[in-house]
Amino acid sequence: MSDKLVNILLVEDDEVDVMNVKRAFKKNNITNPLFICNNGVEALQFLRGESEIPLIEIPKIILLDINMPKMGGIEFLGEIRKDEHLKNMSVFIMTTSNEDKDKVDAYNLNVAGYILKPLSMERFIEAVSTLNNYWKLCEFPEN
Amino acid sequence: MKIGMRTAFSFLAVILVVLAFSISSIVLLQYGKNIDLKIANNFGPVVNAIKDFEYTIEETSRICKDLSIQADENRKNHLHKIINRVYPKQKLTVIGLCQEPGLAEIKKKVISADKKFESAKYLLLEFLQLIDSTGAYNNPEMMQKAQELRNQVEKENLAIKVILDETSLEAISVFNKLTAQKFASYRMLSYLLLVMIVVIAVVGMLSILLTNLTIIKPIKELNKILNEVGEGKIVAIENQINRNDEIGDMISSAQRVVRGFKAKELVANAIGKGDYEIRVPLLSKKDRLGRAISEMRDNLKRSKIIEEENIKSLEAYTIRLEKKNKELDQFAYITSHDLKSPLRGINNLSAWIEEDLGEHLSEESAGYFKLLRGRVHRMEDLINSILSYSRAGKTIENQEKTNTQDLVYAILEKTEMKANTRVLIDECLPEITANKRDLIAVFSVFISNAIRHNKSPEPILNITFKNRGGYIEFCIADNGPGIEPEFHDKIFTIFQTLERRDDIENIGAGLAIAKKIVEDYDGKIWIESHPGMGSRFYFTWPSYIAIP
Repeated sequence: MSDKLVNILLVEDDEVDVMNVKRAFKKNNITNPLFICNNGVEALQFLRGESEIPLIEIPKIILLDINMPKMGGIEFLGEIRKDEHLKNMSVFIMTTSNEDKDKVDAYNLNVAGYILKPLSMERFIEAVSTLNNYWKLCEFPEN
Repeated sequence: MKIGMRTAFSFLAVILVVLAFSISSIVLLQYGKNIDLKIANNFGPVVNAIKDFEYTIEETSRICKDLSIQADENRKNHLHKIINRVYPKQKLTVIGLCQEPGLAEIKKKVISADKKFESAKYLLLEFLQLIDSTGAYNNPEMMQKAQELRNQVEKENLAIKVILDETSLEAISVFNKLTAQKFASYRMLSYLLLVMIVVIAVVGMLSILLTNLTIIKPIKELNKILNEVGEGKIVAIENQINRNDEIGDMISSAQRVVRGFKAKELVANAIGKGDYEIRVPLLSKKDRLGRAISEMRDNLKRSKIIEEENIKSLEAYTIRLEKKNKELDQFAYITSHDLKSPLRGINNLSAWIEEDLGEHLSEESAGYFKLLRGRVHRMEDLINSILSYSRAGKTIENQEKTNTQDLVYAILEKTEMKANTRVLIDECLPEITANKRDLIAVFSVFISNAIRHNKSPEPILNITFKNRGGYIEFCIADNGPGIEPEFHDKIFTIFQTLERRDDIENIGAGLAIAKKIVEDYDGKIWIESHPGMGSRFYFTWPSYIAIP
């Protein structure tokens, strides 16, 4: 098991949801570096090094919301799967959408998982904890 | 030839025949009558007159005989009277009566008899002169001479008598001849009458036969055809009858009527088949039927145009409606998503406040936070229900043969229930055509309702079905609390619950969703229930039909 913590990118437009994730990370003592983008466009700029935030290392994991302004999650997924440098990223959808269509579209674009945001804080913390365990277990290629 | 003319001719002919017969009868009768008159006026008197004439001549012989024996002044005077007055008068009478042409012979004979009497008259006058001389009766010589004279007179008179007898016989024979002629004319008359009767009878029969052949038969045929036309069967009159009389006119009129109807029938059939461009033949300006058909065609054409417009607008309306429905679905989806986000924010924020305050939070406030989050959860459920309801309906994709038996068992496996719940399911539930998810949604609602609301110590769930031909009627029965009939309609309306939401967490969307799906499959959904007697929910679903 590698001690090196992988970078995580959270693409989420809702401020409370961002706080929610941060809080859940804190509760679970997850110390992985967390980058935040508010929509798909911002996230693409960040990943391609075009944003103000300097990109030191491409994040291995993306937590992606679906319903966002400017560019939604599914569209963003489509973009990165077409990008030679970004196509092998692990993407977990974290959304409120329980629509079959969204799920089918997401899995067609090879997502690692599709998580429904639960309403209660406790259950979200549990979910994040499970996720953490999962990606701790996984080996990622160096660079 | 026109029937009128022909009738006039035949009538005239009959009149002529009757007239001819009548005239000949009158002529014959007149002839007979004339003969009768002749007999009465001439022949009877002629015979009598000849007899008188004969008698007078015989009288002279007799007086002469008497006078030759003895003198008698009276007889002498009488003889004078005969010679000078009676005889000439009678002679004239006979000759006067013999003026008829048929009596010429008799007249001749009478004249010859008269000539003979002239000589007898001289002898008589000589005789009278002889006996007038004084003393003649006493003179034998003179008497001898008187006797001789008397003998000569008698001789002459006998000859005259023979002539007159002959004449009288001849007159009688002429009379008989005339009578025979009279009877012959009467016989002729009776023959004539007989012939007339026969002729009229034959002519009458011939005319009846001719009328039958030339008038009644074609009229009957025409009548038959017109009857068929009257009954609505339009048949053409095939026989081409070349006649230039009134019957010919009538047949050609009827042919025109039939042809007109036939043409109208063709046009009406074409209009019936939807050809609204066809020209309606008008027979004349007075052709009201033609105008009516033409008007009907125009009306139909107009209604067809209106109908097409209606269909078009209906199609447009349907498309718009489908678009609106899609928009509504989209709206429900986006709205519920957008509503959920702030809701979760509220939930999280309240949780963090509660967490951050920690021990500083009063027990009361902690209770409020719990209630707050409960309401937030309920709101999420409501939003999810709206979402489910808006999405519920017949799914066009994946319509397949579905075994309800397997489907119901699969649902029951996932359903939590009391250990002593008795589940009675009709063996061999049928196969039907459905999208599995739609059918699962429907059955799930009924099964979960039946179990969740059942407060009986020994809950029973019973699922049965009936084949209603074309569709299946399912029944999901329970021995739960039952529902009052006044609520039977209300329970199928979304968000209508019969219990407080705080007592049983129940959104009240399940039956509304089930109803929406069932009705989308052209089915029906209803309940039979009374408080304390359990509930029986029914719904119908199309039977399995082979899907092409």
